[in-house]
Amino acid sequence: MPQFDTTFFSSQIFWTIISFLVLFLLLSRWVLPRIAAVLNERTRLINDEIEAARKKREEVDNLKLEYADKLADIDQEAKKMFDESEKRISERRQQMMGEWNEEMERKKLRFLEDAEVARQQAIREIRAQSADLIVDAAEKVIHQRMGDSEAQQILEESIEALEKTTAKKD
Amino acid sequence: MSGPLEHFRVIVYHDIHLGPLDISISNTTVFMWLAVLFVAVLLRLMMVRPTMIPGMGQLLAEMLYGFVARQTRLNIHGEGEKYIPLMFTLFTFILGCNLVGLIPGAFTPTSQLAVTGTLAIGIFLYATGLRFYKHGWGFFNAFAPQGVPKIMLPLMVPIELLSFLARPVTLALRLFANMTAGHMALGVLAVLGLATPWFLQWLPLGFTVVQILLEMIIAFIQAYIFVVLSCVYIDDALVDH
Repeated sequence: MPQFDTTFFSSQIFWTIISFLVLFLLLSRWVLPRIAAVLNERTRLINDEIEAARKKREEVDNLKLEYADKLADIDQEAKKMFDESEKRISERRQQMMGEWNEEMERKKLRFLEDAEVARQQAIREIRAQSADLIVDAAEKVIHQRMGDSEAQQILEESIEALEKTTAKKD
Repeated sequence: MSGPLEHFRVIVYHDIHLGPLDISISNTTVFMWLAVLFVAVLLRLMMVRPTMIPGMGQLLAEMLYGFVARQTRLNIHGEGEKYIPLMFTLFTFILGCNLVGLIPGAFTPTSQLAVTGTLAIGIFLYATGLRFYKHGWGFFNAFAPQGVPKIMLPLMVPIELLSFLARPVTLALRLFANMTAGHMALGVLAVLGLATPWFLQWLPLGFTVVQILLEMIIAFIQAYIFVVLSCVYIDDALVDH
């Protein structure tokens, strides 16, 4: 095989080394810094974007927490207001019930007083009527000259009549 | 008609002697320069106006760089970053030399044992020097693996030494053999194509097209293998045994 002919080895080795070094220098100066720079810049940009997105997410999380706290406060406030309102209504109801009971009590007392006055009035009237009846009975006794037993009977009839009259009025 | 090995023959274009050293310009040199020029100019053009959103050329250059950089970081643990320029140069140099030979009538520099041998020995010497620099006389500990019974050492040390010395040989031969075999197959198919009757010529010539596509893949794979093994040798030199 011609590749094993050592005649050209020295020149091939020499030019391989030179060519490799030339390519290394050319790429190191011309190409690699540009590729590395653009890749690093892109990586930096991507990292910045990721960092910005992470910060935004943190902000959103914080906002969510704040809103949750605010909602909890509002809930608490609403509950407090509701409790207070319920308490006020309850107090008002108790107050109204108290007033109504007092009013009823007052009316009842007034009614009883009125009833007592009416009763006294009725008793007075009965007494007056009784007196009239007694007077009438006495007149009868006198006019008919009846005996003691008849007078007694008539008196008892009159009293019974008086009692019936009183019972009817009661 | 020339044989299948004919196009591996070195042709000197210009005799130059530097004292006893022969540094003549041959077809190997010219096509190697072409490969270097092709790689440097193409990559430079691809990166002439780099932008954050890359165009097709820039994307290709970045992909190539990213591929080599990833392999280097993956195989040289911890210190891969500083070897990326060397490995990228090695990869593009070998790939350029492999591909330039696929141009009809061109010469493949990497089909020359002297070329692949120079690259392999260069990497081998670099890795060996690095190992001496890092570990001093601890360099020789690598030939006596830890945990091996002392009775086995007379057997193990020569084996390890042999496998260590075989590295540049295998590295050089693998690339050289693949390039030679591929181009020989291409040459044979082309000769067959020309030798067959006209109504059958499409068969070997069709195979030639397929073979060229295959050779392009092989050119890439061989450059990749050379670089990965170089990284492994350098990593081996850096690791404490």
